[in-house]
Amino acid sequence: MSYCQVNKSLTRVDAYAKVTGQAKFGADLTFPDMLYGKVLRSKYPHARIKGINPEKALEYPGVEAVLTAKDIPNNLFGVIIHNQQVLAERETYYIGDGIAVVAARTREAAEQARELIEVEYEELPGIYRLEEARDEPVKPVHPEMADNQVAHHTLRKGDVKLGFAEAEIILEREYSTQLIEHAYLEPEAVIAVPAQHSTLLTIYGSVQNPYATRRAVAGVLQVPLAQIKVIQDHLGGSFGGKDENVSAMAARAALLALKTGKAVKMVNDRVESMLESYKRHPYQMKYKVGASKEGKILAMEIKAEADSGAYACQTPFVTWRSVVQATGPYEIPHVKTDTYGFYTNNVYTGAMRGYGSPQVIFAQESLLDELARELKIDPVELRLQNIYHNNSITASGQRLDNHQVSLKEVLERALTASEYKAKYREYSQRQPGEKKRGIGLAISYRGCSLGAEAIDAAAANIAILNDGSITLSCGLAENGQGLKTIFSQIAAEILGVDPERINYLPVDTSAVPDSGATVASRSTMVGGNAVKNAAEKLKKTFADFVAREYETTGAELVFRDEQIYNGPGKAVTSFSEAAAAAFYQGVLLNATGWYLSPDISWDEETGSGNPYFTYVYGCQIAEVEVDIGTGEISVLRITAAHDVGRAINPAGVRGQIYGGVMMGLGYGLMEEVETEDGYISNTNFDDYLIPTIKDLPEIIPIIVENPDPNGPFGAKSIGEPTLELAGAAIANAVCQATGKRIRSLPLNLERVLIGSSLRKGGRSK
Amino acid sequence: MKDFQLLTTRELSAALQYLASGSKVKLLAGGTDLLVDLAQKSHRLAGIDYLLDISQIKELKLIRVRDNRLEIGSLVTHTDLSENPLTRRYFPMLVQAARVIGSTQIRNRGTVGGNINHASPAADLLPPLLALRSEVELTAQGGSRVLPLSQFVTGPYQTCLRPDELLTTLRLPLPSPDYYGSFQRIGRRKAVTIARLSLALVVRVTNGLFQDSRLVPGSATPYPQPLARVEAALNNQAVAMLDLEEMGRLAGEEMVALSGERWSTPYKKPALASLVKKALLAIMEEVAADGKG
Repeated sequence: MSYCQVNKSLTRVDAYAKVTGQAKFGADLTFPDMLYGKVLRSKYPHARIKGINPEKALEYPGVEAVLTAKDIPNNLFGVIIHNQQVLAERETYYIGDGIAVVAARTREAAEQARELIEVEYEELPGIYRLEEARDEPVKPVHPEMADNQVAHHTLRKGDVKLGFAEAEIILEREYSTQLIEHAYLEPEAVIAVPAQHSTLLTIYGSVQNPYATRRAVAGVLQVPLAQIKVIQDHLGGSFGGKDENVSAMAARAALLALKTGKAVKMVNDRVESMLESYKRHPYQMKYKVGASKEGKILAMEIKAEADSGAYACQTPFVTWRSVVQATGPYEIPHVKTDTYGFYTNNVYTGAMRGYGSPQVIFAQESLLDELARELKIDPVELRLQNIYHNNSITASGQRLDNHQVSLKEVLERALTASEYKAKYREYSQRQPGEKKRGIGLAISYRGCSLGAEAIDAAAANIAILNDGSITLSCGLAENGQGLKTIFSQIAAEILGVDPERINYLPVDTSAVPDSGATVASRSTMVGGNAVKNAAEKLKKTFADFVAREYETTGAELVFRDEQIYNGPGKAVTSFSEAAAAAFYQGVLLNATGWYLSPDISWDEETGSGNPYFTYVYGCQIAEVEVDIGTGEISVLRITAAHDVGRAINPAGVRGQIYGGVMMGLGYGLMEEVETEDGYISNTNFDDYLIPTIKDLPEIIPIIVENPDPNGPFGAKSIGEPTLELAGAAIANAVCQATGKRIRSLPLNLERVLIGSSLRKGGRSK
Repeated sequence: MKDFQLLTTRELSAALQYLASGSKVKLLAGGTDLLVDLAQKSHRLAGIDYLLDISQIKELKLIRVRDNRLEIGSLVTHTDLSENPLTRRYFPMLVQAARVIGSTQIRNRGTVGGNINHASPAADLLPPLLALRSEVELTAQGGSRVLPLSQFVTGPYQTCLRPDELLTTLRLPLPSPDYYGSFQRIGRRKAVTIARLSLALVVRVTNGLFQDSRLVPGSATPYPQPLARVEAALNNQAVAMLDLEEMGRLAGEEMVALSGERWSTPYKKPALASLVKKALLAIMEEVAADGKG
C-alpha cells in the first residue's frame, strides 16, 4: 500500500519555531505582577526539622510570601505511592528535599530571602548503601514503614533447579550500573496563574505529563481536578525526567499563587535541578546461567536490586519492567527472576528513557558474551541459537504470536551493515601497540507502552473548521520526540489533506481527555491510534454529508489530495468547499478519538502473564578503539537496527536513533552522579560529563519495518529502544579489544586501565 | 553575587596605576575562570575592592619574534595562539595544547596570561610552556622584571606575582632545528574536559643521543613541574636504544615522589608511564623520519 503522508520524512511541524527562536518555553513566559518563587532545600540528606523561622525572609524587600509544609492542605503526593513530600515537614529524606518556598517580586530577592530563612536541624544518620537498606532496616528511611523495601517483583518459569541440574556449564556473575541524570537542556520551569481562566489556577511550563501534574496539584490543594488547567509549553528535553519533580514544582508555585493572588514563576538553575530532580536507578545484579556445551541456554536465575532513593516514585513500575525483560530475548525453559527496590537517603530515582531496561540489558548481554567465551562459541551463534522467533514462549510465559518477531532480521541487518564478521575476525588477531580495536553487539526485546502497569488509553480531538483548516490535539505531550508531526501525518493521511492544513494545538488538560502519561514509548502507538480513530470518525461524518449533499451513489468516497472523489476520475468537490457547506448545513465536524489498548495480564503471585500486547526488537553493534595505556575509549561506529513496525516519519525515527545512541554512549562511557553519604558532588555540567558532539561516532541507523496489527499503519515504538543497547554493546566491544571484562558502568578511564573506579575521599571536591 | 566596582581601561599605564593604588584588585581578562569564581562566590575573591577589566589593552595582544624569541602578549587568546603562523611554525606543541583547552567559546575568550596566572595543576599551557623554558615579563609602574616561568609558578594556584604587577609578556626562545617536542593529554571525553593527565616533552637530538631533555606532566603533581630524574635519565641515551618501559616507570615513580600517594595514584602512575612512552615514540618516529636516529 502506498501512502501520501505517512511513511514520509516530512519536516517537523515545530522545526521553524524552534530554530528561529520563536518557540516559547516555560521560562520565557511572563504575566502581569508576576512573582518569582525559589525553594530553600535541605542542608543535610537526613535531618529532623526542629523549627523554621521565616521572619527575616518575610521582612526582605520584595518578598510577598514564605510557605512551609504546615501551609499545605495535603503535603503528600506520588504517581504510584503517595509518600513524596511537597515540602519536608518533620524530616528531610534526601539532599534535594524542599523545606520552604519564597515568592518575591524579583528572582534575586527570592534568592536572597531564601538564605534568610532560619531552619533548626538535627542531623540524623542516614542509609546510603543499598546493602544497608536491605539488610539493616533497624531504622527505616520512612519511620512509618517496617523496612526499606519499595517493591519486589517475581517472575517464574519452569523449575530452575531442574534447569541447572541439566546444564553442562554454569556461570555466575555480578554486574552493576550507576546513578545518572537525564541532563535535559532546559531545567524545570513552571508558572502558576490564579483565576486567569474560569479555573482556580492555570499552570504553564515544562511539564512532561500534564495530567499527572494536574492530579498532583489538585491533590495537594485538595480541590477538584476541574479547577486546575495545565497547558504544556514547548519543552527542552525530558527523557522521563519532568514528572514528579515538575509536579512538586507546580504544586509549590500553585500554593504561592493562591497565597498571593499573583502569577508565580519558578525556574530551576542547573545546580538546583541536579540536586532535586530524580535520576536513573543504579542496579546491582546477580546473574546465574546454565547451558549445554552446544550453547542452548537451559536456566537463568536473576536477582536485581535498585536504589530507589528517598521516595517510591516510579520504582514499583521500573523494577517491574526489569522483571519482565531481565533474561533478554532468549527462549529459556527455566527462569527465576526477582527484582527489588529499596529506600535510601540518596537522591530519589524515577523514570528515565529506558525505564529499568538499560541496566538488565547491560548485565544480560555481557553475560551472553561471557558464556560464549567460556563455551568457545561465537557470540552471534550463541544468540542465534537462543533468540525468540514467532511463537516463542517468553520468560513470563507469553506466546509471541500476534506480530512478527524480527530479532533475527534486526540482528542480521546490523551484522551486515557493520561488517561485523570480518571485523570480529580482524580484531581477534594480535594487535600491536597500545591502541586495540574491538567490536561487540547487544540485542533486546522491549514491551511497547505501559503494559500491565496501568490502564493504557489515549484521546485525540480533531475539528474541521468552516474554511477547511483543521485543529488537532491529543492528550499525549510533545516532549521533543516529534509527536506533533507524526500525529499530523496520521490525520492528514486519513483525511486526504496536506498536513499544512493542520494546526497542532498544545496539550491543555481542560480540552482533551486524560490520556495518561507520555512515557513508555507509547505515543505513536497509543496516541497515534487515538488520532487515527478521531480522523476516521470525522471522515465518516464528512463522507456521509458529502454523499447526501452531492448526491453521489455507489462507491465509497475517496479523500485524497485535498479533494473528495467518487471512485476514480473527477473530484466531487474539494475538501474546503465541502467543509464550508457542512458548516452551513449544521453538520458537526468535530470528533474525539479514543484508543484503549488490547487486554494484557500479569499475575504477581505466579510471576507470569502476557505483560505487553506487542514488542519491538533491536540490535546495536559498537566498534571501539581502546588505549590500553591510558584507558581511553573511542567509539568509532555504532550500527543500530530497530524494528519500528512502520516508520510514520523515517527522519524522525533516525533522529531518535541518533539521540538514543548518544545517550547510550554517555551511559556506557562517562556519566555518573557521584554521591558521598547522600551529598551530590557533581552538580553542574563542568563535572557531570555527558558526551559532546566530538564524542559522536559514526552512527548507521537501520529502520526495519514489520507492520504490527495493533499499531496505527503498523507503527510501534522507537524512543526508548534506541537508548538501551549502546552501553552493553560498547562493553562487549571493549572486552573484545582488551580481553578484559568490565562488569560495572560506566567504563571510565580507571575501570579500563586498572579494573576499578577510584573515588575521592570525603564529600569535598 | 558579591558587590564590587568594575573598572576598565585600554591603557597599560592606567592599569598599572590602578594596581599601584594599594586597593585589592582582581584582573578580568578572558573571564573564563573569574566568572565561575564570581558565580560560586569563591574565597579567591574574598575582600576585593575592584575588578579591573584589562581585556581591551591592545598592546598585550601581540605575537611577534624579537631577539630570537617568540613574544606572546598575556592577552592573546587560546584561539589566537593556535591560529598564529609564528606559533604554528615554531611551537606546534603549544598549538596542540591550546587547541584542546575547553570549548571553542572558552578558547575564544580565555587568555594565555590567565591560564598561567591561575596556575591550576591542570592548566593546559603550563607543561609545554615550562618544557619550552619560557620566561615571563612582569610589569609594574616602576619598571619590569623577567623571571623563568618555573620560578613564577610557586605552588598550586600560586605565583610570585606582586599585587602591583601585571604579567605582560611571555618569551619563548626559538628552538634550533634539532629540537623535538610532543604533547600528550588524557581527558574523560573528547572536548570540554579538564586534563586528567597531560605531558610535554622537549628534547634535543645530537648525534643520535637525547640531550637537554625537559619533561613536564600536568595534573600529575601539585603544580606543573619538571620530572628532573627522568630528564637526567633520558639525557645521553641513544634514541634507537631507549628503554621506553623504564622511562615510563621512572616517570610514575617521580610523580609519586612529588605528589605522594593519592586516591588517583593507582590510575595516574601507569597512565603517566603510557604518556611518556607515547611522547618518546612520537619523537623517535619524527627523528627517524628526519634521518637523524
